Amino acid sequence: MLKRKMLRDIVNYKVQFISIFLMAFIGLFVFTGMYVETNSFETTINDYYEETNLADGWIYSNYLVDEFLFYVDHLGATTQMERQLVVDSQTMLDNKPHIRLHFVENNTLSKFYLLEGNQLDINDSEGVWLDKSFADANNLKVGDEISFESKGIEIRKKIRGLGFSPEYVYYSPVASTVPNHTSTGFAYMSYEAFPSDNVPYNVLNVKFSGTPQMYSKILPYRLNDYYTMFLEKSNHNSARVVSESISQQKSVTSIFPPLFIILSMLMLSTTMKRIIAQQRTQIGILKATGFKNHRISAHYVLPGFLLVTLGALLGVITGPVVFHMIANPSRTFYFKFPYWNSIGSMTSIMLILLVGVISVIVSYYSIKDIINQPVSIIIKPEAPKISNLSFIEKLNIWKKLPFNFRWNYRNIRRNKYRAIVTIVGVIGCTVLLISGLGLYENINESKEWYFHDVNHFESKLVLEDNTDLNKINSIAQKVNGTPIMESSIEISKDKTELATLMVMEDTNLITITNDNHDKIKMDADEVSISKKMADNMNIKVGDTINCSSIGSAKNIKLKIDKIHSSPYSQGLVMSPNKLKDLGLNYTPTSIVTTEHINGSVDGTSVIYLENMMTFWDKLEETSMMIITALIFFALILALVILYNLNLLSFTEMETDIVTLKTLGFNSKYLTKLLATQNLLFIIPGFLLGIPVGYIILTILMPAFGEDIYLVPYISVTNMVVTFLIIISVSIVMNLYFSRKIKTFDITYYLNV
Amino acid sequence: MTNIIEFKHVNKIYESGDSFLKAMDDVSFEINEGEFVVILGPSGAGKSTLLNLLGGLDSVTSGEIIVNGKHIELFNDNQLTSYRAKHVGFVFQFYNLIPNLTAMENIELMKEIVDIDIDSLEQLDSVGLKNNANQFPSQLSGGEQQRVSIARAIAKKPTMLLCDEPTGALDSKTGTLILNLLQEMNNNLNTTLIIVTHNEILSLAADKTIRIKNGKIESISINENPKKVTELEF
Repeated sequence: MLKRKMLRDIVNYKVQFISIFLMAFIGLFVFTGMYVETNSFETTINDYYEETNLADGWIYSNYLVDEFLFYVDHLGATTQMERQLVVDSQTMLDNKPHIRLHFVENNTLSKFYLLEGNQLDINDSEGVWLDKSFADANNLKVGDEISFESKGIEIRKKIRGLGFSPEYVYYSPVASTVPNHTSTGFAYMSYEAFPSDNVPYNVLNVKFSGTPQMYSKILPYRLNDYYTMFLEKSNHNSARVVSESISQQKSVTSIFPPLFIILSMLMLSTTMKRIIAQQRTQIGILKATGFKNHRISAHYVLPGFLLVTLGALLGVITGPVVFHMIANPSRTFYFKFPYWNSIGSMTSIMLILLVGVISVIVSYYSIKDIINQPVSIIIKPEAPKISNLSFIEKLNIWKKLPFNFRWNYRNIRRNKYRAIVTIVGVIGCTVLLISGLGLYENINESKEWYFHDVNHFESKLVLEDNTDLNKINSIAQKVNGTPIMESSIEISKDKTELATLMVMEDTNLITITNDNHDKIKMDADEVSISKKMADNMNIKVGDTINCSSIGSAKNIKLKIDKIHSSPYSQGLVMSPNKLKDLGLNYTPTSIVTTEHINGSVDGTSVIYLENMMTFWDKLEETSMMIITALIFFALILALVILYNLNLLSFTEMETDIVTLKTLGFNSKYLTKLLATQNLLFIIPGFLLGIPVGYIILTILMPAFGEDIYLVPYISVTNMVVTFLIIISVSIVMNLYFSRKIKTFDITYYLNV
Repeated sequence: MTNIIEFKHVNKIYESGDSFLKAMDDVSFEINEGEFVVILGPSGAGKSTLLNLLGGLDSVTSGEIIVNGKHIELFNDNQLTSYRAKHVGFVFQFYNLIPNLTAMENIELMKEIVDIDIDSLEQLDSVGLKNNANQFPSQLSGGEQQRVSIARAIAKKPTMLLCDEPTGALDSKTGTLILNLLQEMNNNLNTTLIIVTHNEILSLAADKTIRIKNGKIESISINENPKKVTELEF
């Protein structure tokens, strides 16, 4: 019979139980969805790197002879090394795609991962192992022949296998951030396939123990001037972009899903507590009839536990699937890795258990409070708590305050716990919405900043390496453009970082800006550092820092004259004259112009600002999709929470509302009472939610990569939209309850 | 005396799925201004239904209810609300005070719905609770709560006072005090007093007794010499 009662209770409290189910579902759906997706991505990449033995660092040198290898081996930290010759080539196909060739000595480090065909044979002089994405895009198959041309030498090989490389998880054409597998790719061959016996190796892949910082310090000690650059894994383009993408997602995952789950659990506990409190007299009757405490407890604990566990289970099953469907297409477009190792089964089970246990604990303690009282007490409705008049209520002004306000003040005073939970719920909804919308807005704002306030050119002509300065000037004149130099430079103060170096004459085509996107005027002898980098390295205006161009041991002292803000690419900006004064070579890498250049000019490759914007959108696509999903689920959770809180509030006031209606208060007046209470919760909740949302945005911003600088801010639009969403839900709820008030069957309530 | 309440062939049928319950079956009676009327009957006879219909809390299935010459059975929801606010004072078995408001504030509450000057302290004084003005209902005894409830009901100077088992939750001594108070209000303010009860003895104090059974009027009797409540032995 108790089972039948339980089922009827579930039907009677269906709205509350549906809320409980939905909150457990959404909390677990978002949490496990994002958690599993992000951690699976990280695990997959780590497994892939481990399986293919990705190098820890790359030493670029033209002296990779035995003696060099001996010294590297005897650095003390090197654990494994292997030489490669890496050269760029053009493929003899119609579109002349660019292929980077790797002639490998052993294929033991950064190994080629075979997907089709035969394993890489180190003794095969005729075979090539090709990038599978490139092969698919160009319709090439195992067994086909392919020719490459590099520095006037053409080689023709047979495709033995197709696959991926851990060094090319992310790979994009020059001057682009978006992969284009038709025009770019990579190929691996044995050193035997090189057309000469003497292979001029230029890269030494190394594995080492200890930190990369330590390794990069001991390297010049032994091999100064014998290598041009040491690239550690964190600065390797592919590894860096992948790692930034993971850290970006992890950062979002570390903040939002826990918020979802905390809010869900908080609301869940309040709802469970209220349901049980409303069953007080029934508990008394059961106890008076002779039911044992544990049976009654189980009777009340079970429905919540079952629904919460079911909701959690459904969330855990569907969350990872849906989030994978959202994030995977854009991720696999960007990143090439051979498999997907989904993790989190144990974590998910733990979470289901945790949520179930929370529901049991909350229900148990709620029922324990009631069941341990004497039957004579609990068989009667709970006596309202005794209140003493507060200070404000003793003031003369109290009587002059509107009744509406006085009523609600008292109501809140008497139901402090519900009031606090409601305000926390509104804070949570505000935080979720404001930070979700804020992220969306900040990323878009950053895009606007970079493409409208910083860059004003139409076309960017990317120059070939070692282009003669006269030729550069001639092209610049031809297209009415300005040459710029974009390079990398190592800068150090308390620590060493790789920074971008932008060298250009004073031009209107690229504006150096501050945080407000206003132009900063720079003199020809001034050096400016971007704010993000300055903050990261604790550099201030007037500080002197050390810098050196990549691979050079020459240390230059440099005084920082200005700090600018750059939404994309962090580092130094100076004029060509200043660069020359510092003793560094001015070698422009591209020319920017307001003209729309059709086709190639003197061998340059052209990229348009419009395309760069598309690239930007593509780069942020995965994050934007996750953020959009977050906003969507935040909205759903906000709806459920606000509905639930309104329902709780209404249920608690129901008897009083009936009395007031009986006494002759009209429905409009009573609706106003409820609306006032809602506003009293929403306004402080919303106002407190804004700074918390801002703090969350501030925590999230650095995770968007070392290059991207996002200024955390919450726009008026964001606040208005968030407030409108919350207030709209509240108004809808109010309308719903006002209908309920209008259609109240007073006689029913009076007879209950 | 002026006839202010008239029930004419009132029927009330409750529907629940396929079943019907006739709670009022062709009920007709009249009540004069200032009368003390007791409605008697066993449980389930339809006493509370009658009171609910008269109080504008429920609507008739058929028939007419005329109060002060107005057909309240034709009133819409807004008109019924206004009717309750201006003409009806309710006293319930379980007092139905607002727990969040002090005794005085429960009376002041009436200022929100009627446009008359209410001295809440004076009202409390009239029920002997002047010193309990700032206490919340939970700090008052059952009898005290019912007295606040009466003070609240009469504060708005209603045409009639409808009391549904007002002593049902009280001991006999306190119940007598409450009934005495109601009778005094009836005498002093000339407020029509209608009490629903199953306590036969109370009919000795009433001007009129309406007996109901199975939703029908069983009898209506007039008491030419009503006694004081304090003279009755409950």
